[in-house]
Amino acid sequence: MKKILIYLSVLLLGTIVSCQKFLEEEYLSGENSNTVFESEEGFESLVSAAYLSLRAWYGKENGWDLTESGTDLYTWGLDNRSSGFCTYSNFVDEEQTRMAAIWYELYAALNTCNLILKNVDEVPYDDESLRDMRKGEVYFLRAHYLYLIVETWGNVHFTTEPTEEADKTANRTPISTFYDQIFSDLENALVLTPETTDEYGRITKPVVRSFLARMNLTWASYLENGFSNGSQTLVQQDAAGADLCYQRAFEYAEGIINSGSYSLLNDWDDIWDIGNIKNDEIIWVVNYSDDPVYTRTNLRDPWDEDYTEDKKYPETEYDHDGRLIQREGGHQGHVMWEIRYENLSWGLIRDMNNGRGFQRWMPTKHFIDMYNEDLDERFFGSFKNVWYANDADATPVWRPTMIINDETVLVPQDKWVTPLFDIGDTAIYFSKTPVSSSLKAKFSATDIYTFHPDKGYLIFDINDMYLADGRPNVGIINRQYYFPITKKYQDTTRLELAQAYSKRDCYVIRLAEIYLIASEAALMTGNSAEAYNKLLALANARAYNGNGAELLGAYGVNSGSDISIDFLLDERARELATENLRYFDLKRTKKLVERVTLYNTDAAPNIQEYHNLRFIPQEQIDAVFNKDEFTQNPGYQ
Amino acid sequence: MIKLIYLMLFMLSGTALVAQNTVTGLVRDINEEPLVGVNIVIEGTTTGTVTDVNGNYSIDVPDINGTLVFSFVGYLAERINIQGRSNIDIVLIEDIAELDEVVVIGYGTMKKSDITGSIVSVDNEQITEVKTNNALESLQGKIAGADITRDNGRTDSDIDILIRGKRSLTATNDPLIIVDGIPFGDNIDINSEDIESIEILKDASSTAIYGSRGSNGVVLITTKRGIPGRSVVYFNSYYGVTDPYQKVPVFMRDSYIQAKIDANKDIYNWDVEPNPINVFPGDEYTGYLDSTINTDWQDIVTRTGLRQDYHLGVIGGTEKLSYNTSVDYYKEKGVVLADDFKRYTFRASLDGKVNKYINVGNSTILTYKVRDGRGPRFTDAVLLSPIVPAYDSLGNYIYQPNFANPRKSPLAYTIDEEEEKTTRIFSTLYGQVNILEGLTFKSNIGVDMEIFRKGYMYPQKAPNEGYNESGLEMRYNYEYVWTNILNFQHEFDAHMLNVMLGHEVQYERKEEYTVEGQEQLFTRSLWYNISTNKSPKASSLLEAKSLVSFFSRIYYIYNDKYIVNVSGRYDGASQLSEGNKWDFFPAASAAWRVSREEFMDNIEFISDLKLRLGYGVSGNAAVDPYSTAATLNKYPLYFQFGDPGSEVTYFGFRPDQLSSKDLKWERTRQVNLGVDFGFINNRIIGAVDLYHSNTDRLLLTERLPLSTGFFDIVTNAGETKTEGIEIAIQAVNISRGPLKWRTSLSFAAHKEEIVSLTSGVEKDEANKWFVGYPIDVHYDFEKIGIWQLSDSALAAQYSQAPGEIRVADNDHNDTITFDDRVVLGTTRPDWTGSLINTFNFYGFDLTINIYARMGQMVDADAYDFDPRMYDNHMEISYWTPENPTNDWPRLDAALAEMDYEHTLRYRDASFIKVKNITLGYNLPLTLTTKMSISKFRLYVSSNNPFILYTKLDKGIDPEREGSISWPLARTFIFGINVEF
Repeated sequence: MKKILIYLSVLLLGTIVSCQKFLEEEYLSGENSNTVFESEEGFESLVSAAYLSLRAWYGKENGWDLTESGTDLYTWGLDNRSSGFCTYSNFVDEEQTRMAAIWYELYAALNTCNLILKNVDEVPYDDESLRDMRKGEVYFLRAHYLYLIVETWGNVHFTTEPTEEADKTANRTPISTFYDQIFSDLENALVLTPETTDEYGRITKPVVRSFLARMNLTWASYLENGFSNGSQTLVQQDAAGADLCYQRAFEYAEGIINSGSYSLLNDWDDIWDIGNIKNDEIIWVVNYSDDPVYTRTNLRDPWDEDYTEDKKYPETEYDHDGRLIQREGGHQGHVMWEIRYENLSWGLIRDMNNGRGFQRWMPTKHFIDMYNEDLDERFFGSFKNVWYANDADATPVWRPTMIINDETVLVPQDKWVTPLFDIGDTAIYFSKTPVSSSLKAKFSATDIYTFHPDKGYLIFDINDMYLADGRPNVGIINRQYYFPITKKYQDTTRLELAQAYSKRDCYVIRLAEIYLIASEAALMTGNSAEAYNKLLALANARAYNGNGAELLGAYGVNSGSDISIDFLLDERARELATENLRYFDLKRTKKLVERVTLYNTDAAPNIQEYHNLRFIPQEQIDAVFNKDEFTQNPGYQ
Repeated sequence: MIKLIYLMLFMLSGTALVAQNTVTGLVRDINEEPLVGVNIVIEGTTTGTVTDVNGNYSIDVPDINGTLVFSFVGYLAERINIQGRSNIDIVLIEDIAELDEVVVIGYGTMKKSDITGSIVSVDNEQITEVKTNNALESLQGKIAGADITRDNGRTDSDIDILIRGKRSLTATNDPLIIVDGIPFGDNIDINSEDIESIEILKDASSTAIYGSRGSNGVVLITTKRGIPGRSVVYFNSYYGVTDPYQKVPVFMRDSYIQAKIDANKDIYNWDVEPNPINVFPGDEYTGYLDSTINTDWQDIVTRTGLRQDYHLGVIGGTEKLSYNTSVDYYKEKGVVLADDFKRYTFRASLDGKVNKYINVGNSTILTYKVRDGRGPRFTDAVLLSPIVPAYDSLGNYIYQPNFANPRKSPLAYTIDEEEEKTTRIFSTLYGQVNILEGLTFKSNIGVDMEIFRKGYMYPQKAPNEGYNESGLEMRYNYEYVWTNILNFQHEFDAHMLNVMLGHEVQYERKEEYTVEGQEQLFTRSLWYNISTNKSPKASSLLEAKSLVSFFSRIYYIYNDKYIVNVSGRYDGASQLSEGNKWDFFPAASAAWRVSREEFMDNIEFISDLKLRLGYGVSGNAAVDPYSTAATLNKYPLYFQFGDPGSEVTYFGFRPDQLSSKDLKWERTRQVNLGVDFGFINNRIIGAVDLYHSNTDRLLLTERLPLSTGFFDIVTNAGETKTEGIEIAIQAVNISRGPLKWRTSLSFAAHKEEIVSLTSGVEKDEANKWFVGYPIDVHYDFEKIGIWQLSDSALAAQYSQAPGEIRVADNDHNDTITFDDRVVLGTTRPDWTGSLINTFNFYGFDLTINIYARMGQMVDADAYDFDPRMYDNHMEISYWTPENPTNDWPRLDAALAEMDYEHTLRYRDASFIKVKNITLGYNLPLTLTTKMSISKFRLYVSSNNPFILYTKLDKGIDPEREGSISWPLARTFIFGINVEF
């Protein structure tokens, strides 16, 4: 019996000794903060992660919400669930969720960059030049994220240190500090990055230079105009400083233009052709691919319960099947800007060529009116205003009605004739000019009861689309908005009809912008002749007939002395609309309130100076403990 | 009818006449089962007898006017005056106090009378009363202080059990569930019939022996074991129908049409009727014109469900070897289409005596579960328009019933194939060595292996809509626990001493694998040929954690009056940070059986009285593994570089979690003061417990400012306090002749609040934690009404319009800001209680179980508001100029969302419902014995038959907290129990 006790004791003792080892954890299903710095491979994965958040902004709804919606160019479409970004009136519900998401995403990205830059020198890289290259890339990315943060929210939280403790405070840092860091990071990047890369999409010297041009122009504008959030001056006017920055902007832009690496395409459509996404005009893109494994949108993550709870990643969207649309999905421009043409069932069903419509944003009347469509390739190149029948039997499943002279007319079914259309017939047509009632009658009213192929198409003229005051005409048919869609992002190569992700790389910087930067910088430094030259070079490429002077003339610019900042903003609109720049352009030129008041009827009643900064998500305000210091941006209460 | 009763009385009056001065009869329990070995003594003499195997007795009495005393362990003694009768049949009533009953405690057993903590024991009869696939559900309302709720109405839904409220803010509050000494996980897929008893340890002095896992209470489940000397074959079965308990009262045709029209009216020009063409988009216009269309989507997706269970078992054994084995088949057809569930359970236990020194035993439960079908989303059925048809002229479902609204038909999901299979083997093996008299060593090993497989194939729903998707998920859980216990028990004179020493190691490992893909070549391959998908994607995961413990307990009883219990446990857990892995959890308690004191002898009224006082420290380490490591990448992230069409994918590992460097055990210190009492010969027994607990070093996931680049961190922060009272009373109200009426009442109220937060703030808005308030609160704007036309000017000052939601300007600064948010209520009930009445009349028994849960506020989906009426809506009396209500705002088709619409969702979900009614009948033994059947019982039973009180709208089940998914089922069941 004693023996048994002895055995037992030995057994127990043995277990105690092995306890410590038994309680050690080993995490295999991912990396941790120790392992990631121990190898080049691990660290490279962290560098790749520094690029990730670009995908949350470029080619995504959030990015457009914060740069295009609520400007003079775009108002909200019927399926827009965060119309507050456009109307500046509601930021209680959905807008909060989305703002928190993008705020988090950009700060997570900043943190990743800070972590990399703090540790990059300790990592065992075999090849020192690779280390430098990566360092340069991340310097650039940090500058870019800082730019997005400061341009959206202004003087908010700033740090160049990675988060290591659960810090419950946030700071308010002057805008100038952000820009000091941006410039310093970009200078570093310019030294470290390579001139070219085999991996299209990575940061190279020309990308850095181009962005330096944009940043210098931006900062110059602030120094030129000063910047205020409505209650306090955030950037003091500084004419000399502005001048210096304009000059630098011009020099960087000129350097790119003269480098010979890029050239403007003469056919506007070639820039946007999904088969030609990599072209001579493009300087930097955020890459997307057609590999559905890494791009498709409805990957569910079965491991992470939070993931589906809509809490941890509040920016994630659910499709109508209740499945997650993950933010890593592809470019979403092809669905976000499209309308629900098929709802009309007017010779049309949803097909590959026409896409799938989420109708988030609708152009303002002013924006449509900005173009001279006879001379400028960019109107019909940017907007699709005609749909051709793709289904002869697309009988309206609803009762077809027409609004004629403000009367709604119901079409009796016995008057329907099938087939209604021949494939290829015009089915829907948007006219940017008013169509005379007699012409309209010819197209629709007289023969409304018989859908004759030649005559039965729907015509929406400018007055059908917009009310007299410029507001969208809600509910013209079936309470949907119908408007010419922004077609820059159409993708006919997607694998199936409903696919909400596209392989299209998102252009972040292209050469046309560089010309416009050069022009603006020249103008602001008094060299209006050079400003005109740069515009002319761009216009030559954009005019149907190659005659840029005629095109500029049509817009009222015949020489450098005709150029105003307003003209440049119009030209930037025609060229760069939907390219994530508009809100930033308006605020740096101090034109946001003015132009939104004039041209965006939905937003006009609400827009005020303080809207030059977006609201900070309440989730952030709630979570900080230094609430006296870290307050909401003024005006948002 | 009267004849029938006479007939029954005649049958009950039983056997034949015998000689004078001899009294014979039959002794049974209230279930008509004969009682064997009942003592029958002539009062005032030592003359007596016992009942035979059939419950019959015969005794010669000297005085036909004397008195017989019937007594039996566990039953109330009966004194019967003979009054010259020669035949006396009686029914003995169970002594509900059952003081000699042995109950299971942590790592041991104990006589109920010796318990010093707060422990509730529930026997098989109570567990099987409510017919469900989850044994815990039947305990709902029966245990004071245990708040039991069912997650949802899906057939395989989990049961949540919360003992004495919430302590921890974000770590799990699930109690530790132990089956035959081994942790079982939270899904109780054991068949109720296989459970001998469930003990619930509520206070810390009882749970501290489980150390780091004891904070949330412990549920001890003991499965049935063999009984030497008696062989029983039993068969239990039930079959019944179910129907959905909830039907959200949505707008139907006429009210829907009116609501949509009203939504398109201008409140200032109310008389102007909008053109219906502009009101009803898409297919709705056709529906508007066609008055025959009035689709009741909820009816379409629900059905009459079925539940059936067949349980066959054998219990028996010899002195050397006893066994208990059973097989069970449970099948449920859910009330929502395509929700089907099957479970097969095989169980066997063996207990053997090897020799004088060694006992061994084993128990194995093998469970195989299949859940079939994905089922429609009930939510869609609530929200779809009633004026669009569900089927086309050919009878096929319409995928998108209204082309102007992307919501899909719930019927589309019924074509989805989805199958979940779980195979679980839960096996325990013990060996016990009786080393010396009173000294035993027991080693118990438990292995729990679970293989879960889910396969799905979602075919394309409609031409040109989506593509097929298929996938497979495999989960392999493996856990072992090894417990070694050295126990010493010694009695001398009036002393009893028990010392226990123990050691335990536990290891849990979870591996998961998934593959999924789209556009599989053949839909018919289901998930068995995923490589033919266009883009299969795989992922995998490993999670492991371990726990090592040492523990000891000393019990000392003096004179059966004074009981002292001291225990301690030292636990080490892998998932805590280095240096904080180990902690010690002590406990002490004492009890004084006052009724055993001499001075109580004269107080006839009080038959039993015991005071209990306990204090204990228990822990909670329910954090995920790897919480202390700063991990990167919890989900696949990637970035691509390269020319279009030839991109190279790079995985990006981004910091995802901050290192929680100092993570410690959460600790709960609890004082429990209890009294157990029995009055009037234990006809009324009960227990009252008061407790106060403090939990500090709360393990919580704390939200961080997003500017840190992180969402949250797991930390020890803050302290909560919980106070509560629990009352449980059982009474035999009537026990006269054939009629018995027993009542059992339980009541629990508790109050929890945050005492402090480590961060030092009083209000942590991001986490919704407020010092002085309970843990789960609703913090939001406060709706005080609807802006009325007469308030237009004031409303405008707040940027609101008449008919919109008016919220309180709590800081009176004439503008509504986020600072106006207040704590509106808590999700925890103020009190819960139940009242169970059982009536027995001859062979009949009737049980009515009423359950109340009061004071909880819910954030109810059913009360979601959409001013556009884009989807259908609960039928509400919305505001119009003609209906200036303060309940609901106006509808407005042009308004994408209404400010503060979320405030409409906060509702008081208090309810009282009849949880169960069961009517049973036991066939008289006189009939059954002839067929060699020892028990034959038939019953009908209904779960959730009706609600007695609710503040929510009719049709909304308050128990589902206003959720519009998966309604609970109401059941009507017919069952049979037979024993041979």
